[in-house]
Amino acid sequence: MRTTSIFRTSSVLVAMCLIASGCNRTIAYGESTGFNLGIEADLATDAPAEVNVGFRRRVVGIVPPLEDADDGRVTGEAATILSRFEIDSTSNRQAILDTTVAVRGAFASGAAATELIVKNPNSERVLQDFANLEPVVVRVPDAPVERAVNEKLVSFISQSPENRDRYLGFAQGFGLAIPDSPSSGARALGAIGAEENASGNARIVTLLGL
Amino acid sequence: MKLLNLFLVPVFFVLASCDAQRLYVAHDTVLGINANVSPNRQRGRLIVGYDRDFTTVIPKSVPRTDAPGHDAMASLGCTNLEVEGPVLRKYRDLVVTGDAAIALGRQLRTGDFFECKAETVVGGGT
Repeated sequence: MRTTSIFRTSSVLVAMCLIASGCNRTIAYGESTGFNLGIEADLATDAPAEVNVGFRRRVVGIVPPLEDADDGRVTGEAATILSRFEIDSTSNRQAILDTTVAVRGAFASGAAATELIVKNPNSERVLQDFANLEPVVVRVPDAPVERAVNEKLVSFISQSPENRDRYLGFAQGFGLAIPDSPSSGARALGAIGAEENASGNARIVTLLGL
Repeated sequence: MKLLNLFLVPVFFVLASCDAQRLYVAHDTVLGINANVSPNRQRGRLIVGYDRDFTTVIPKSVPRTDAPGHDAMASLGCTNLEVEGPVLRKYRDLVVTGDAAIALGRQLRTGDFFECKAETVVGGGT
């Protein structure tokens, strides 16, 4: 049986066990992630071979309500879990072997998840960063020089949160236009893309030695 | 361990007593080249790159202090991997449960959830 089928079958099995027996005090969560060249085949079944080139991710979660149902009717919110996944890539077009790929995943449940988000005084910012819910539009300039500056800065801030803060520090220092957003990533990308910041961004690139 | 095995254990837990009595966490991570084939050569798998399966079964057993009902047992897990060209630069994996997970969650409020990095992890407090 292929992994895909196994994942589905097993997930359904867990769900059926939980639902059929009236279980409402168990969370079942599973994820399967591939960023690869993957080939799977099972000649014993009719299932076709599976080939994956690139990214594949599956997530299954069965989450019961917080409040225990008295009469079989569910009320209230679901129990607390958090899950997050991210892939970051900084590529060097001149030397492909210099490309850096960072894969990050995180999961939390119960009070640990609550401490992270609900009880966090910066929960609004954390939630924005956590889910990356805010759409960010970055202007791509026509002028090659300006476009090169923007690409260097976007690559720079993508490398780490520290770089993002460093760029924002320079941008504030030079009085560049920075959009109002709770997400530092959205603020940095907005400042990089703003047309009126072109000369300031070029100075920052020089200062950073990019 | 393949994904089948990761899921079979919690299935057994659930079948044995309806609701799970233990927190179960498992992951299977591959980075590089991983190949396996069944003895009769009917089933095979080749992975080149990154592949990760993560499964958890969490009992909802912790009474809520501010409202009726129960929340899930505390657990926290992070994985952080960095590859530069063909070289593995960093691989960090952390699974924490119980009071230590709560304490770490508190410490990570101002940090990076992905990094799961704190100077000290203190258990026992809330």
